[in-house]
Amino acid sequence: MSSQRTEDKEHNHVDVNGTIFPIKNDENRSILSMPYDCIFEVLQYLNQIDLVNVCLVNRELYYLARRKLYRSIFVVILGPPIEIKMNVYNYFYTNYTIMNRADYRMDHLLKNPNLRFCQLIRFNFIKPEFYQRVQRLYPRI
Amino acid sequence: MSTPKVIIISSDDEKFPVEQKVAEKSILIKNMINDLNPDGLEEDFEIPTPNVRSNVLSKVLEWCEHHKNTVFADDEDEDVKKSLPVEEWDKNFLKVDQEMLYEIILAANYLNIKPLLESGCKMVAEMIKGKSPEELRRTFNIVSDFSPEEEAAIRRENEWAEDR
Repeated sequence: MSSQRTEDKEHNHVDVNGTIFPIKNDENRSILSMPYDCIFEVLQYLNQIDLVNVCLVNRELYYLARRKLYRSIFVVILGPPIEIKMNVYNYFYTNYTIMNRADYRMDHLLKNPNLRFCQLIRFNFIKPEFYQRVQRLYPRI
Repeated sequence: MSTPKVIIISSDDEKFPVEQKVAEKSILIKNMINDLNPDGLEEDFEIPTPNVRSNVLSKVLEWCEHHKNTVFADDEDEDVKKSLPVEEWDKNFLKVDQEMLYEIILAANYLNIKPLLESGCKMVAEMIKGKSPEELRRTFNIVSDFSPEEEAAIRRENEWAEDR
């Protein structure tokens, strides 16, 4: 792919559909000089606390990290909240972003534009009402 | 006649003769060898790698040499592999400056050496873990391009994911 990067620094990396242009040619190597698929690979090993922090570093990393942060969401509807641990990197914590207290957060989440990056939402308890709303709004999740 | 070698040529024209087995840790090279020599290698075979510099290539080949007999787990164990720490030898091998680490990752990506790519990416992930945005900017020498309002908006947007 030979997509040219334009001078528009703010929006050239990701187009309206969120498609990433991986071609980069910086002489000076830094983490941001790596192609986006390599940076994205790095993000696979992080948990949600790290991803929230990476989102705040700069625009480029925000565009990348939010795709991982919103990709698979684990919604806790019933029972005690799942502790979101800082230094735990097992399968569950690196694969899901946990959302506790769904009862009052679900509305908010469904309005979050980043939900378009979501591919999977899992609930710890079946609540048809939530499920139907997600289905209606995001049929492909 | 001695066994034919694979001669990998770096972007700055340095030649690295290696055993076929070592070179084939790179799936790109393996496929090239097989496609162009369907009956097996009969003589030395040269492969240019126009975007890998000699200092990086020698590092990558050192890894290939060390792992020439290593059998790596299949892709189906992807999820398990992801949560495993970097293997001790790789960890020491990748204790290099950031620039070299990125170049090794780039080369592993280009040459399609998946286990090396994974170890490299895990090493970078280790540098990210547990750091605040400000610490991350310092570590990676990145300047924030957000206005305070934008930063606050992103914090709000992701607030739900931070509730411990």
